[in-house]
Amino acid sequence: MKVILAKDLLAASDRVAAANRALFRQRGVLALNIMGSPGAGKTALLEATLPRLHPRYGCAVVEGDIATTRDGERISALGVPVVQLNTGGACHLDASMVARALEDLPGAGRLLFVENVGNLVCPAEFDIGTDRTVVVFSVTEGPDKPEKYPLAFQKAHAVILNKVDLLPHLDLTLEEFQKVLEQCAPGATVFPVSARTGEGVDAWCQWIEAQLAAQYADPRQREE
Amino acid sequence: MHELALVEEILKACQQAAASHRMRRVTAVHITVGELAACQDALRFAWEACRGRFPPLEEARLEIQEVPARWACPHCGTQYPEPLPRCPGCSAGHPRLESGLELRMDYLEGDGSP
Repeated sequence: MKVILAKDLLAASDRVAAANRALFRQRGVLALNIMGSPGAGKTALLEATLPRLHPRYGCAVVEGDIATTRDGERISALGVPVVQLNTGGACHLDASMVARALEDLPGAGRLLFVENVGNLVCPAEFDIGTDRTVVVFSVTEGPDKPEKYPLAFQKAHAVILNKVDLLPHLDLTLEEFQKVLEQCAPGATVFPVSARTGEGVDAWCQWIEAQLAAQYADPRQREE
Repeated sequence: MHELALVEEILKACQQAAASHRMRRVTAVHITVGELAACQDALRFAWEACRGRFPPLEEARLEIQEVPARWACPHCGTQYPEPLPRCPGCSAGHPRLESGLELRMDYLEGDGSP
């Protein structure tokens, strides 16, 4: 006997992602999915970004980690509302985890940063309902990574080339990194940044402001 | 390892379907998996490890139909099987993934109630 199931395992997840997106529209929020390798500087970037944007727009953060609340504590110390998710082994956030986190966040701010689990593979495969995808890629990871992990870089609207203050100690120049990213992330704006020194953070913040304005310039505007 | 979570989700759904159709034994579960959605070997390994906990699927085979990944240029429509950052036809960026992320349960086979 044969039983037809015809059940799309991703459809349920896509429905939740769409619901998250609808909630962002309703609240007037721009949501950014921040991904990158462990140690690329995702939390450090947020620590440099939030003091600039939180007073003006109101920010909130969802922190995704397999274990510990360390990142959440770092964000909380800045006075920004944060929900820490522990995935307990799962290698990426999914739309339903983000939906649960949204229940615990005040809806007043205009910017939501979702820091995904440190991993360049799986986070790129799952739509969590965010409006923009940002990859944090540090110069110490090596110039071959964008080619080895193509999906994340192809999906990126912005690439933060982090730790540029370390370039003098490396064999590669900024131009060489930029050439690689031009090839592997043609749809992304690249921001050379040092989250540690603050270099380049202003330009990145201006990009976020422009994205927020663009998202709500035309109420019917659909994101890609 | 998201293959483990996927397999548990599939087994749970099959268990429900088997119960509602009063199946005594499920012999095979047929699924469609995009090349980029999950690793076949990891799925099979997780299947072997988990199926014993989901009666009546203890002996069920997992039959995987794979869908190859394909990208298409949003600009000129050229299709290509590699994640090229730029279209080989017109060198536009932002290739669109046409297939390869499918994850579908198709049907299960087994013995009904006597």
